Amino acid sequence: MKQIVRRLVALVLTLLLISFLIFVIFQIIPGDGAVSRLGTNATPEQIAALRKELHLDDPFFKRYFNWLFGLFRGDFGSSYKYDMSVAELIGGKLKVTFFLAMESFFLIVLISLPVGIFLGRTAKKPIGAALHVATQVCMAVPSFFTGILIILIFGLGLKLFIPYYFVKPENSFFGFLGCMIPGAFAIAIPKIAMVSRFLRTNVLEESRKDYVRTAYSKGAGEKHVFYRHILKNAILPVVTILGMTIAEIMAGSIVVEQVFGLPGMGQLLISSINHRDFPVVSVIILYMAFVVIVMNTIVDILYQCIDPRISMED
Amino acid sequence: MLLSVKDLCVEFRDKIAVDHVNFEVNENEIVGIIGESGSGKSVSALSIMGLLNDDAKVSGSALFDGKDLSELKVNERQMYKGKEISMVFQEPMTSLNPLMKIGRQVEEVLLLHPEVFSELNEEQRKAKVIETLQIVGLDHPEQIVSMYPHELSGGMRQRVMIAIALIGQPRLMIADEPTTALDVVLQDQILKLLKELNQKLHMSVLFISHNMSIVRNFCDRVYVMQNGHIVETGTPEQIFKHPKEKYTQILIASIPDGTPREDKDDVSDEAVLEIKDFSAFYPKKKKHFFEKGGRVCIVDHVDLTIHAGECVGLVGRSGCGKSTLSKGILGLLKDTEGAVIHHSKHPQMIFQDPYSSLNPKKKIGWILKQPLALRTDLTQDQKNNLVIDTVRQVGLMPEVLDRYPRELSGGMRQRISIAIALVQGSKFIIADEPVSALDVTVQKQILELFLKVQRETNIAFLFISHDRDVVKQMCHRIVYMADGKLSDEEERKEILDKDAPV
Repeated sequence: MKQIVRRLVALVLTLLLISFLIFVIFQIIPGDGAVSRLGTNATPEQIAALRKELHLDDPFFKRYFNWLFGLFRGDFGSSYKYDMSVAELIGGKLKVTFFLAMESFFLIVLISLPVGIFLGRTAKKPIGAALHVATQVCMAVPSFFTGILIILIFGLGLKLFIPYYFVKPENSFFGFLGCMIPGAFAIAIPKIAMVSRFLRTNVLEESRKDYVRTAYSKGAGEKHVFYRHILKNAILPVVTILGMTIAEIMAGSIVVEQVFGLPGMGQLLISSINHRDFPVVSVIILYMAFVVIVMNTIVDILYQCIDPRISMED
Repeated sequence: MLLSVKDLCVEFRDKIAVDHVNFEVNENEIVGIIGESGSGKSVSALSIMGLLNDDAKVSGSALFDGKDLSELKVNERQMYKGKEISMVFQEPMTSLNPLMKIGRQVEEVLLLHPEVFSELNEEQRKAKVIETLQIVGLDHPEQIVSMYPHELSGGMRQRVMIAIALIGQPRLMIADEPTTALDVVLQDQILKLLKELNQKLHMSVLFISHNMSIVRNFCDRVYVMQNGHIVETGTPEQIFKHPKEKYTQILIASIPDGTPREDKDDVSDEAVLEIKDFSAFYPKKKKHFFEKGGRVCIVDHVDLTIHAGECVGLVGRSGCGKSTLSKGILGLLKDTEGAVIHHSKHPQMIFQDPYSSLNPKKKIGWILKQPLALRTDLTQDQKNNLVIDTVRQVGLMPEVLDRYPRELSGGMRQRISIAIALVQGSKFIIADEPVSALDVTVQKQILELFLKVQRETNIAFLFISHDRDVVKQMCHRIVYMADGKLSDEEERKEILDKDAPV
């Protein structure tokens, strides 16, 4: 319990720090939301008026705290570029990015563990060696290129799915999830390769440890030793690695959305940065940071549940 | 006859580890195999248990109760492991599964042998686990079953290992260096336990060790192994009093005999080191972030003076603060009280493990020149000459300067460690268990080197060791440490003699 409270405090502090950093960075980089919105033909008076309207001339800390308290009230502000509230602008897109990331995370967990176990158990056989090389190839290809290949081979070639077909979650939630699967695979494949290779290495390393010899000396067979002793020890470090991939998945989803034409936050984030549309960018980045930190916290707590050597109190 | 090994050969890819070895273990007998590292004693034991890797080629036969183990199928052989023959390993810290509760690990033996233990229900199994933990001398077994290995000390873990090896009621227990990783007091307790089990439960023990004095006191019969051969066999009496073979004679002559050092003439009154009312602390683990950090006292008001040319032995159980004291003397600690006054320059330290304390990527010459790197008063040529002289002083040829640490044997590496300490021309050196990782014959050579160096250079040593005979032989004076306090020499005798094995 104490552990969870401490985690929550850390989460809030981290988000505050990130919010401040985003704010500072937007002060430093050149460019102006007002200029960007009005275009190069605007008169200085027009710009000055808009700046005033957007409170861009207020002192730094006043602006920061106004914005921050707005966030706490659930008021994310309005976009500089579009005359829309940020909540409206992001709403639907956020769902796409979030579920795309979650889908690829589940694919990574579901596929990399069995593959890694298989690789570890067949390390000395030709099939294991061949698969090991294959994972290296998968790991080396960036996910946007994997995405193009998936569209070409499985979409246009084998006609297993319709490229660029998108179902809104309001119409059919499962259709929505289904149409994002190819994209989720594109993000997941390099990570699956990485995680399963990592698990393979752990399996091989653990197999050489002394406690494995002890288990054999009790009269245990190969399968018993593997599933009762080696596996849990080998999976433990993988949990940490899985937590670390979440940030990469979020980053990867922004690129892959473009490849698969998914209406996620990727496009919006890039254009908002170009237009110095601070309210939009800040919310997207804070949201991503939130997801990454929450997922990592879950992973950490999970790790403590599995590993008795780390007590919940520390 | 319980176990009879005939013509056992074990071959690894490039070398023969065990070469036509024959030995026997009778019912209710404790048989010892002694030998130095690489003599094939552990490999022989592992091959009886069928625990060698696939790349080992094993031939010959191991008759257990008349049945040839080597002819059994894999699953038939599993019925013997843990039930008829069990094994205790050297490393209690790593031999238990870190993620499994102690109770489960002990109980597993019963579950793996349903042919014998299937009539036990869960409660009876639990009771048997607790009973076995009690037999091996663990207090509060009801609590221990639900603990994890990291919550137990090394000695307790080794008892758990013995419980695992015992619960199947085997007729033969193979103990491969079961006490080597433990300190003397624990060593003594574990050996007593094994002897008791042998007498009460009529269990035979095959005891593998490199420690001569343990084997001598503990075993009914002894085999001496060298380079994969058994060179001699007999009762401890025959082997230790009247060794026939040359190798056995060398081995026995190498055992430190513990004759106290007599030459006190070289010790002057001039102090090289004065420790006055010295205490050292480690920060206490904080419960939460804002708690004010407390501290734990590791070294507690220690006074010690070491004179020029004197060798002082420091003895104590593991965890008593020996290493912290030596770090404190060298100024490597942050939180200390009291005074450490050095009357000489460049105090040095020699470490226990000659394998990991030398940088594997650098040549010996580079490693030896490193302590001189900051010296501006010497020219390059002078430094080179100094290094060559030091290498000669520790009994090596200057050619080693061009080698990497991995190309040297353990004894040669420890000589290099000594040379590193000597090259600065220090007058005071701390040697932390400098010979405990070495085989007896090498140990003897290194101890002789220490004595020779000390006589030649009049260096003062603080010699840390847990081997009472080594310390007696090496040191003019012995101090004993317990719970961070140094006791005076009066207590020495009692404490050192208490740890005599069995």
